[in-house]
Amino acid sequence: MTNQTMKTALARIAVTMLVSLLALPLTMSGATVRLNVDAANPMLLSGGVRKTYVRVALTGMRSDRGVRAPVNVAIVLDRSGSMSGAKMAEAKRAAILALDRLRDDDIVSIVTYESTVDVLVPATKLYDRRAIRRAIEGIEASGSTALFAGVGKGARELRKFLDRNRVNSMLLLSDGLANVGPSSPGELAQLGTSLGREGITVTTIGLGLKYNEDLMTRLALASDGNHFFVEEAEDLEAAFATEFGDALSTVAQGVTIHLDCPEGVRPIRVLGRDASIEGQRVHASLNQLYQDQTRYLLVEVEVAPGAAGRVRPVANVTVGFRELATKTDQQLRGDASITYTNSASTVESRKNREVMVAVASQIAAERNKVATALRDEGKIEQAREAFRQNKVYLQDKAVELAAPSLKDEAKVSGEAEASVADEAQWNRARKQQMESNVQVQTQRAPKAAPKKKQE
Amino acid sequence: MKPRLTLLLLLIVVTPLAIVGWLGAKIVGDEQDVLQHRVSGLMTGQLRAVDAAISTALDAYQQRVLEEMRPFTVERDALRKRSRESALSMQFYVLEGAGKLLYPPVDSPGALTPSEREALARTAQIWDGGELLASVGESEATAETGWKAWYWGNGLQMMFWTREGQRIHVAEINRTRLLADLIAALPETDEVAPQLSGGRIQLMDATGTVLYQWGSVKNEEALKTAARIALRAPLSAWSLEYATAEAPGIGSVVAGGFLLTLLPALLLLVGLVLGMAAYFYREQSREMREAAQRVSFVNQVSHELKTPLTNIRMYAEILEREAGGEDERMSRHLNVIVSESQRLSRMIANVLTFSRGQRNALNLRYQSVVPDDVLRTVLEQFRPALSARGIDVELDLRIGEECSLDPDALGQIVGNLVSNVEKYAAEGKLLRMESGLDSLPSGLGRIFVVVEDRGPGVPAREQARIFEPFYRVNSLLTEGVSGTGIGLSISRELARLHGGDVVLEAKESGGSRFLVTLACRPVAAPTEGRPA
Repeated sequence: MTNQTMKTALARIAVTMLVSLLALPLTMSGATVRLNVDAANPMLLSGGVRKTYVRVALTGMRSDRGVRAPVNVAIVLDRSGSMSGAKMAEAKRAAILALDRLRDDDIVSIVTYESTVDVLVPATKLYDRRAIRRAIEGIEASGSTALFAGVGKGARELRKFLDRNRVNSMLLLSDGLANVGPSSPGELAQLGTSLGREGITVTTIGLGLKYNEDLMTRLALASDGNHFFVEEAEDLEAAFATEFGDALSTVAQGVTIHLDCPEGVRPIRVLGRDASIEGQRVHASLNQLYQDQTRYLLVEVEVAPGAAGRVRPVANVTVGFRELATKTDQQLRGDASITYTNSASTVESRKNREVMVAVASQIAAERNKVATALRDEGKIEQAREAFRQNKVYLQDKAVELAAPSLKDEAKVSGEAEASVADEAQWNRARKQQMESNVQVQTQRAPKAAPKKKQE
Repeated sequence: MKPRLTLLLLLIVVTPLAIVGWLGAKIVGDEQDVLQHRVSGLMTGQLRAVDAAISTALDAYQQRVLEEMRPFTVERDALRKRSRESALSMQFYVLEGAGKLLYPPVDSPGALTPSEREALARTAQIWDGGELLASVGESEATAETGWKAWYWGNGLQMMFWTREGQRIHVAEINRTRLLADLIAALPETDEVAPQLSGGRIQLMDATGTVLYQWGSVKNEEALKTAARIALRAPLSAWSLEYATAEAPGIGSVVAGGFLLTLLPALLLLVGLVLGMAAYFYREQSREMREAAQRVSFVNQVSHELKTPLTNIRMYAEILEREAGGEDERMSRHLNVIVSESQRLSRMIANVLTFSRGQRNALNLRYQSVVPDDVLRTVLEQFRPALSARGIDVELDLRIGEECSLDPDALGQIVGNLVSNVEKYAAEGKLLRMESGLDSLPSGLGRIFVVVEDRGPGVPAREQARIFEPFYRVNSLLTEGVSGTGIGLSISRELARLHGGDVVLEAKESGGSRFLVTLACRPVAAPTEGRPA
C-alpha cells in the first residue's frame, strides 16, 4: 500500500468515526469493525496481464462497553428415534447449559422435530427459565426426521422477534438423514440462502456418524452459519458453547460488501463464499461479525499490464453493517492498489503473507471438494492422490508462509487421504473434511476443544 | 315330545332375536355408513380449512413479493440488487408486452451475470415457449397479477407476475422458502384440533411425497388415507390427505354410543321374548308334570287295585255262571259289573305298561295262540259297551291258525283301538275289524288287524301326534270324555316291540282306520323271552 492510499484509507476511517461520533456522542469507540483491503501481491511484475487476489477483511473489535447485543435464538432439535438414549440426554443438557449463558431479555425458542414438528417453546424472553428447562427435559425421542419443517418452524419463531439489533440465529441439531419433506442438500441450501438474506444464520450440528453432511454444511454455508461435526454426544456441550459464544460476541451484523474494480482490473471469481460478480462489481454479504474474529471476502482479479513503478488501484470497497452496540448503520470504505515492478524477487518478497495464507486455505478447500467428489464417484485412488497433493500443498504453504493454521488443515487432508479406502473411516473423514471446509469458507471458529480427547 | 318342544321354544326365542339382531345390525351398519360419511365429510372440511390457510399464506407471500417488486423498474442495477437480496425470490424478470425479456439483458449475453445466466437456463422453457405470456393471456384481461406453475429440477416451480402498463414484471419464487413459509403457517402436532386427534394431515406434492405433516399417531405404518383433496390453484398439483390409523375406529366410537342408546330397548325386547318363552315352557312343563303325576298316582293305585279287581271280576263271573239266565235283570247287572271290571283291568294294564315302558322294561310273553280268538275275546268284553252306544260290529277275521305271539299285547293294542271307537266314534255306528296273516320271505309271519270306524276321523294336522303320550286331540270331540292320553302311545310301543306297528291309514270317506301289524313266530318253535 502506498502512503497516499494509506492516508486516504485512514482519512476515510477517521471520517466514519467522526460521523458515528456525531451521531452518538456518548459512544466513544465507534469503530467496532476494522476493515482491511489488501492485495496478495502489492507489487506486480510489469509487462503482462497478471493475476492476484484482493482480500477484504473485517475484524470485530473488542467492545469496551461490555454490553453485548441481545440475541434471538431458535434451538431446533432432532428428536427422531435414532436420538434416543445418551444422544438425547446430552442434547438436552447442552441446550440447558447454553441457555444459562443467556440474559433474561434474550429471546429463545425451542423446536423439536421427528415425523412431525412441535414448537416446544414458542419465541419468548427468558423470564421463566424453569418452564423452558422443564420443556427441554421432557423431550423424548421417536419417529422419523422432518428436518425441513423443523427449520421452517424455527425460522418462523425467529421472525417473531426478527430485529436488526438482535443476533438472529438458529442452531439446528440432527443425527440422521432428513426423510420427511424436502431433504436434498440443494433444497436445504436454497432455504438457507433465503434465511441468510433475511438475516437469519443457521448453524448446524451433525451428531454421530449417520447424518447427511452435505445437507448440513450446505444449509450452514448458504445462511452464513457455522457447522460442527460432533461424533460423541458428550461433545455437544462444546459445540453449543462455541455457537453461543459467537452469537454473544457479535458486534455487527447484516454486513454488505461492495467491491469495485477500476478500469484495467477484472474480477474473475470469489473464493470460498457465495458472491455475485456483476461486471466490475462484486457483491457479497456476511450475516455476523464476531469480536476478535476476522472474516473476509477473497476475490481473484486479473490486472492489465503496466509499466514498472506505476501504481494501479485494484479495488474500492464499501462495507455497510449494523453496529449492534450503538444500534446504528455504519459504513466503512477501503481500497487497495498495486505497484508494478520489474523485479520478480521484489514481487515475491513483498507478497502479503496473511492474504496468501487465506488464498492457500481457500484453494485447498476447493481442491478438497474435488477430491471428495472423486471419492464419491468411487475413484478411490484418484481421490487418495488428490488428498495427498492437497496435504503436501498445505504443508508446503504452511512452511513457506509460516502459518500453523495451514498445518492443521493439512492434517485434515492427510486424514482424508489415509481413510479413503475404508468405508467407515471415510465416513468420519468426510464429515471432518466438510466441517473443516465450512470453517475455512466462512472463517468461523472451530468448536471448542472437547473435554475428553477422542481416540 | 321333548325335542319337539325344545325346538319350538328355540324357534320362539331365536326367531325374534335373530330379527332384532339383524335389524339392529342393519341399523348400526347404516348408522356406521352415515357416520363414516359424516366423519369423512368432517375430514374433508378440515382439509378444506387447511387449504384455505395455505391459500391465505400464499396470498401473504404474494403480497410480500409484490412489495419487493415495487417500485416497478426496468433499471438493470436495481433489478440485480433486488434479485441478489430477495429472500423470497430467486430472480426477477421484466417482459415487454410482446413477450421479449427486457431484463435480464438477453440481447447482450456478455453483460449477463453468472446468476442471471443460471436463472435463464432454469426458466428457458417459460420464455422460449411463451408459456408465461400464454398464462397471462388466459387469465382475465382485467387481472393485474397471477401465478404460473411449472416443473423444473426437483419439483414444482412458481412464478408470480404482475402487469404494469405494457410490461409484465415477474418474480421467480424461491420454492423452498415458499414451502417453508407455508409450513410455518400450518399447525404443529401439539396444536391439532382435539376432535381429530389420532389422525394426521399430510401435505403432499404431485408425486405423493410428504412435504409436511402434523398430528400424532401411534403407529405410522397403519396409516390409511381417509380423505383427500387437491389444493386450489396455483398449487393444484399438491394435495392434502387426512390419514388415520384405523378408518372405522372413529366411526365405531360414535356408533358404539348409538348402540348404547339402543341397548335398553334391545334388552327389553330380548327380556320380553325370553319371558314369553319361559311362560310357555312353564305352562307346557306344568301340563306334562301334571300328567306324569297323574300316571304315577294311577300307577301306584293300580297296583293296589289289581288284586281286589281280580277278585271282583272272578266272583262276578262265578255269580254270572251260577245265576244261569234265571233272572234276566240280575244277569244284565252282573254283565255290567264284569265288563266294567274288565275295562278297569285294561286301564290298569295300560298304566302299568306305560310306567314299565318309561323304565324300558316292557316284556313280551310269547304264547301259541290263535290271534282271532284273542280278537274275539276283546270284542266280547266290549260288546255290552258297544251295543249300549248302538255300534254295530262287522268282522272279517281270517287268522284261524296258531301263531306265537303275546296275546296280552295284542289284546291290549286292539282293546285300546276298540275303546277309542267306543269313546270317540260312536256316531259312526259301525266298528269294522279285519284280520289276516302275511307270510314274509324270512319265514317269519306277520299278522295284521284293521280297526275301522265311521266317526269324525282324526284331523290331518293331528295324525302324527295322536301317538304321543298325553296328547289328546283338543276339540269338541274329546271334551267331556275321560282318558289318560296314553292308549295309542302304548299300543304303538307294544306293537313296535312286537316287530310291528300301529298306523293310522288314510281313508277316503269319514272315520278312521288303524292298521296294526305284529310279527309272529312259527308255532313249531315257540319261545319265550325278549325279542331283540
